[in-house]
Amino acid sequence: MVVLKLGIILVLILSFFWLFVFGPFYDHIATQLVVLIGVIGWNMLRFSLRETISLLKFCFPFVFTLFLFGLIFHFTRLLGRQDWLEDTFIKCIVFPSSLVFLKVLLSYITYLDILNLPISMKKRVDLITIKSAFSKGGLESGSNIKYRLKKYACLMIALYLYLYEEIENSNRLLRNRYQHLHEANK
Amino acid sequence: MKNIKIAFIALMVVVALITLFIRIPLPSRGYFNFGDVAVVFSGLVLGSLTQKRNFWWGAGAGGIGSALADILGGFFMFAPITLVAKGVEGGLCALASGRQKFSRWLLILLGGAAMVACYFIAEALMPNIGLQGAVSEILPNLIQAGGGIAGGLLAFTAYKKIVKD
Repeated sequence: MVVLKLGIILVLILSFFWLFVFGPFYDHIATQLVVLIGVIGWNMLRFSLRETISLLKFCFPFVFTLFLFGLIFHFTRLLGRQDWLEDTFIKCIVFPSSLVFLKVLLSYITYLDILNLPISMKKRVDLITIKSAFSKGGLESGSNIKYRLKKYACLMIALYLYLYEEIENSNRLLRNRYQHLHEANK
Repeated sequence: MKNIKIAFIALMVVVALITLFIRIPLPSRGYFNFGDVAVVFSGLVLGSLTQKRNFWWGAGAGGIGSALADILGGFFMFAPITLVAKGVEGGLCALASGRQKFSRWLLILLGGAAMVACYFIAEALMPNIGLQGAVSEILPNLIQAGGGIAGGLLAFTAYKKIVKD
């Protein structure tokens, strides 16, 4: 059952990218806009309005830099191209919609699903750690990343040290629990 | 889980996030980014943590992290090329980590050159980019590689000082 669920999720992700990012609908601005509105609505239903706003805020700097440079390239007519603005506009829609789509769909993969996968416990622990590392990397509210940033004044090193510590802690907890359950079962 | 595995996962996430962070569109469907700094940094860190199979640890963190950023950022078509290009770059940086002066610099520079070459070959073969588009991306890719080496080395030096303290 879990394998089927994960299979469906994988097929949906591949279909989305094949249709809207890589394939026939990439250049259709109207379709891309509908898709963006659709995935934002889906995210709102799945999580909350607040969560959706914070996700869009997270996307904003990326979309803004894309748009800004697209605008500059358009007005300078870089490489003699006339379609910079249109191309940038598509990229500005595709980026948040693919990010939100992936985030919503991957949220359906729960820790329980990973635990039910027909793989070894070692691999399960690795998968759980990767899933937790990505959610920590999303700079959850309440994390101590801001403190680290101030201390080291370097995003990348701070992020690495922070993630390393978090992964080590969660991994230690997981292993302890697993060991305890294993001994209790004996 | 061994320390190298934890470092690998953490650095893979760092590479993905830094690559996503700032992006400037390029003439092809790709974009200019600062992910190379993270790729070089992760290669050097992983190379310093292990002597065994260090190429593959560096290649994995750089390649998978960057490819994930492409997938998450809506540039899915570049993900396979990125996996190879950034993988080779990260792997060579990991190999360079345990070496001294000349061979170290040579491997790091080779990593940057390999990344540029991989993108050139792949983009030239892509029908919607072609040779003209691939040629126009050599300069931004070279700047990206150079910036990545400089930034990555600086970050690695800072990291070593922090870890020592």
